[in-house]
Amino acid sequence: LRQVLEFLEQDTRLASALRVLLSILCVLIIWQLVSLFVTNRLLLVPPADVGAALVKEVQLGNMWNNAVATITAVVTSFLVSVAIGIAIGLALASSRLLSLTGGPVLSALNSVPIIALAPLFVAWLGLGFASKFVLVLLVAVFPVVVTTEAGLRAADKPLIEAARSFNATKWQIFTTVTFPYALPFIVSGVRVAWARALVGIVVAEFFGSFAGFGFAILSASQTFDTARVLGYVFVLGAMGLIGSIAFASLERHLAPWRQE
Amino acid sequence: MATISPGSPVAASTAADDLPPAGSALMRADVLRPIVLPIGTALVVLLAWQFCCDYYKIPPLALPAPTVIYHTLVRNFPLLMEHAAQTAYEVALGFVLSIVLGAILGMGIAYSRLFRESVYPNLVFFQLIPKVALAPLFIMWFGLGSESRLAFAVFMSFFPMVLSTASGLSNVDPNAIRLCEALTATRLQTFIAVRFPFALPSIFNGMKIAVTMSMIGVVVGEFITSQAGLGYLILFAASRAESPIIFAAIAVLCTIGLLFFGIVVLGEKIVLRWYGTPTR
Repeated sequence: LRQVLEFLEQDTRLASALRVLLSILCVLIIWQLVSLFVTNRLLLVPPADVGAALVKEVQLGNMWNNAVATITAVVTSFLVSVAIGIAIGLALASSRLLSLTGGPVLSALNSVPIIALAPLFVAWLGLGFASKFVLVLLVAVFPVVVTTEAGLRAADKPLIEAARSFNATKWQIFTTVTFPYALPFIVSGVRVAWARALVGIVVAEFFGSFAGFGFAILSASQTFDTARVLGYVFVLGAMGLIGSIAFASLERHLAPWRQE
Repeated sequence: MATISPGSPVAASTAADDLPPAGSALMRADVLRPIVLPIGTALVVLLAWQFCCDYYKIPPLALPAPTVIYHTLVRNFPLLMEHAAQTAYEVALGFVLSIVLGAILGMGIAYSRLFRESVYPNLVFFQLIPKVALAPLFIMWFGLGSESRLAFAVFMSFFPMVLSTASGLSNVDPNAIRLCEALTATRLQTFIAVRFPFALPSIFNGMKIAVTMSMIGVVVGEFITSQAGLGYLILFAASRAESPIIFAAIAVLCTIGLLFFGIVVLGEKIVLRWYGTPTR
């Protein structure tokens, strides 16, 4: 047992992954035990039931339909919003006038609950892909814009000056100094954007769709099927987790010097 | 929002001070510029909007003109205010509760290693779930009343507070802590005199995120429960295809959001001036 404990306290990647798995396992076991005592199944559903509900959804084919609807919408919209976000960020960082006029407008828009516009987009664009696409785009674009601008602004001044004294053109400075410097910032913005995109898609699907995880969650909750609600929530959580880990490792890869 | 940590480049972003001054005469009035330019842009957008609506005869159902929205807002003012009061009350209460909860958890994380290592990973893991997806569950747990929206708002907004409190309290200048230790200050004294004032900018950054999240939580809750509040009004108007009411309600919602945000910013200014903490 001591050997196991010592192994778990190591600083390797395997050990830390095992630690995380262990703590999740603990939570699941406690949850299962508590649900032995709390028998109101509306309040608390044991994890085993959630798993069973998920398996049943997969067997019925609902999972596949919902996954296709959600993932196509969220991925397309996410990619477009990253592209647009980087473009706007570049424009803001390159022009002082633009950043002074557009910046406050953008930050005002950012602090307004865009989610509240969901019913409006559904009314405009109908139920289905288009309304989801626009809503996700609007919530996901801001973090990318902000981080792109901040990253381009944050480039080391001495490095730029060094490049300039070597007679580098503006374009060369951009491609060899400022942009590589800004990349990890941009990726951290993209990571936030992915989390936001998932929120956007769920809200859009609450109102405006016939398929998708958000739709499935709402319809399950209307039949008081807590197990099914939680099952879909876990699927969404897994999507968030995968995205977060992927972008975090990309960030580390792009900026090995930015270790905390 | 596990990824926005206060003090990260995102938080300390738009400092436009260190740029070379632009030469144009328009840009000369340094003081007025940050006020005039955004308002000017907003006005231009509004005018263009109005013009498009009038010129292309866009039906108000699709996109009502700003004047139409304004008239709707004036005509339905009592109704809007009634729902706005409900929403604002829940947002404020959710925000305050999340500050309390976030501060307690954040202090726990900053001060106790055991607490940090056992609770913090679980909290972070929870943040990766799109929390909005859990809104229907809160309705099932807490019923259709105000409690479910309040609980959901707190659930949405407490995490930025935890994160910012914890990181603010632990990222204190080590020299200041060492000085306190040399002067034999107790832990409480160190907390009051050093850690807390140092953490304040970070805590206020968290509050700025939390107030927006609380607002989103309440509005999404109102979308789903549909009893009262601006979210309910928006959904109700959407189902009756009354676009001007939707826009008027959204305008009120934005005003409330900006108001709360402004209060936090104002509080930050006052408190930081009182403490004399240098803002970077």
